[in-house]
Amino acid sequence: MVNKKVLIIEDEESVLKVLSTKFTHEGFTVFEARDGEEGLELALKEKPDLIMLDVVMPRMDGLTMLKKLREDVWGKKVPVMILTNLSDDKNIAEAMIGGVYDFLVKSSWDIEDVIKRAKERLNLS
Amino acid sequence: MFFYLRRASTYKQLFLVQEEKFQKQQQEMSRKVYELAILKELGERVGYSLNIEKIIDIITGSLGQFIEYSAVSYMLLEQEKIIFKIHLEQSVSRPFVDEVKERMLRSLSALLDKEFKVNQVTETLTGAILIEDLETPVRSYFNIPLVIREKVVGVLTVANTKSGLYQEEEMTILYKITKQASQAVNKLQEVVEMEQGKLEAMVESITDGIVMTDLDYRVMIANPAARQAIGLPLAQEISIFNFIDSLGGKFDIRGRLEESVKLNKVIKSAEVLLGEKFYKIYVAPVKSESVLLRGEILGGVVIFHDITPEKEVEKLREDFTSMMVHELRSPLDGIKKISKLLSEDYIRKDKKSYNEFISLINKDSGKMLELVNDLLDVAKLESGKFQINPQTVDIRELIHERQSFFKPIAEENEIELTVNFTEDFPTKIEIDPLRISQILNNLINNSLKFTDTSGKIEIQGFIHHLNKKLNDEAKDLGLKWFNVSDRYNLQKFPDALVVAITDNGIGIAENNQQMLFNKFVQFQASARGGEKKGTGLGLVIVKGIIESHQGKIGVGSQEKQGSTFYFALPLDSLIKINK
Repeated sequence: MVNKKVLIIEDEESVLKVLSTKFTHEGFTVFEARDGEEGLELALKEKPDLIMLDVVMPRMDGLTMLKKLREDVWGKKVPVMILTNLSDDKNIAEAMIGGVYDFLVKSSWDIEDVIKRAKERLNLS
Repeated sequence: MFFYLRRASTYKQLFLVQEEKFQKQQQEMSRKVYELAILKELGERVGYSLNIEKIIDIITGSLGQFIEYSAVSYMLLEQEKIIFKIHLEQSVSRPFVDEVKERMLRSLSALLDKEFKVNQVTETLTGAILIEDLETPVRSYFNIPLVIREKVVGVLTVANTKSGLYQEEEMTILYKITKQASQAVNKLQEVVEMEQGKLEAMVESITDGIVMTDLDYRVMIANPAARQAIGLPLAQEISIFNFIDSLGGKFDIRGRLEESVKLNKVIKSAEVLLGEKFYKIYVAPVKSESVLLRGEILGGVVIFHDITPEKEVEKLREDFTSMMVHELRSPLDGIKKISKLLSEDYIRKDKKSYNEFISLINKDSGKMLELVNDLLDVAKLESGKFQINPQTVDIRELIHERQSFFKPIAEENEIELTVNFTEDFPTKIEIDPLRISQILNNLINNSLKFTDTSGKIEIQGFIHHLNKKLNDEAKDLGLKWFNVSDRYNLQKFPDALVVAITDNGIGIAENNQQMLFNKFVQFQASARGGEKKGTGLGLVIVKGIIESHQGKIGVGSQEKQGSTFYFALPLDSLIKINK
């Protein structure tokens, strides 16, 4: 049991389910959100130890959500990992300014890698 | 004798008077002839030149026949300098010339209320030589302004070392000559201006910015688009410096003009960003077309071609591609990850999770297939290879089928989905049933997406008649219907079968309505909570299919009230009714 809370914000149902299942299996407590608005609300309420954030989403996109999150005293410091398959430089630059810990391109990573990086970030490995 | 003598003297006197009168007439005649000669010469020269300097050269060149002077001179205002030309009939000293020059400069300053300096003057001296020792002050002097179209362009002067010359008579002659010369120029300029006006009207209406300069980089023409390119108001005087300032380090307009004229070639710039717009700048030499001066380079032209629209289309295309990549990659990525996960024991043992993942794979692959099909349809439509396969179909049945298909989803969202046909709405017609079903799926799906729970969607079927407006027809039938704009009102469209889908959903803002059928634009409307936005391809395909049936598609909507999407298929051309 790692006893850590992770919030996954992702509109793609299958990716969300895969991540959620895997993190749960690894002993995390998982919260799920399907757009930026829902994600922000849940983040501020549950104060997770780590946030996995998709970029392209309906209602509120990931980068807008991130900007709002960083305005919060608690949200300023929470580690955020960006999940996306858009690999254009502008998004990366924006995410860096937002103080994101890690940047991932979805199609190129393996699920084990995500778990590994998440654990590293939380000093669990 | 005395008497005789006296008479004789009277006669003589009389004769003298006569003689004097005759001489005066002679003078008058020669003056007239002279004026005529000058005017004729002016006319001929002016015929192919508007060069004021040349015209004044003609006047001063022949003035000596009529007025006595030591020197005749003129000053002409040029863009950056003052031309001073003095012709000496007799030798004078340098101070004489300088005095004439200074006096003329003062007159010019007074006339134009502007300060001029001696170092701005370029001097040309012709005629007799200067002799330094001569004591030749300016004793007589006469000065008249040269006016072209009510604008002072210079002064003309005669000066003499003798005093007491230049009375009213001489002045009158000089005035007359310059006035006539100026009138001739005016007339010619009017003609030229009229021609120029036609040309300018043409140049002004061109959307590319056009600037023409002469060989001294004076701006001869600058159309509104050119002013707009450098952000200069219409009324303001314009010079090459406005362009140099605005272009800054981005484009060396003067250097390029020089290069273009010198090498007689067209120069093209890379993209230049001016304000918020992108331009390509072309510089080319301007050559004379007239018989006399054929091929002679008169100046240069600079063309500012606005490429912003092309850039915007390019951006749209890039956005579109990146969106498509995202839309294809996401489900594919999901499938890949699920399949990896399914190989793990703990998932296989959990039957519920296992089934859930299998159904997700099914959903994702279905989504991808749909998108690939859409992309193929669009590609076919764009290349003109889209084909329909008409068959005799019961359209009423086809619509009812779609209603049954969507009923469960509608009920799930507490949306009422009804069908309403008029009596004269046909049953059997010739259409491509698969394609028309695809259209109905698309339109009903959109309505469901943008209609809130406990909303209403109605599929309406009626007949449109030529010369009637759809809006009125729907109203007469008592249909709930959103007004379509004139463009979609089908007044000139032949009798047609109309199928419309009207909902009371969130509606579409007026300016977004025009973009609905554009491949690259997916307007920013948020679908019902959590629902994903589509790819924007659906309506493009719908439009393509309808047009393949010779039909029309249209939309009417009001924000927060709802929308009507319809398609109309002409009864006579493609559709045969077998009632």
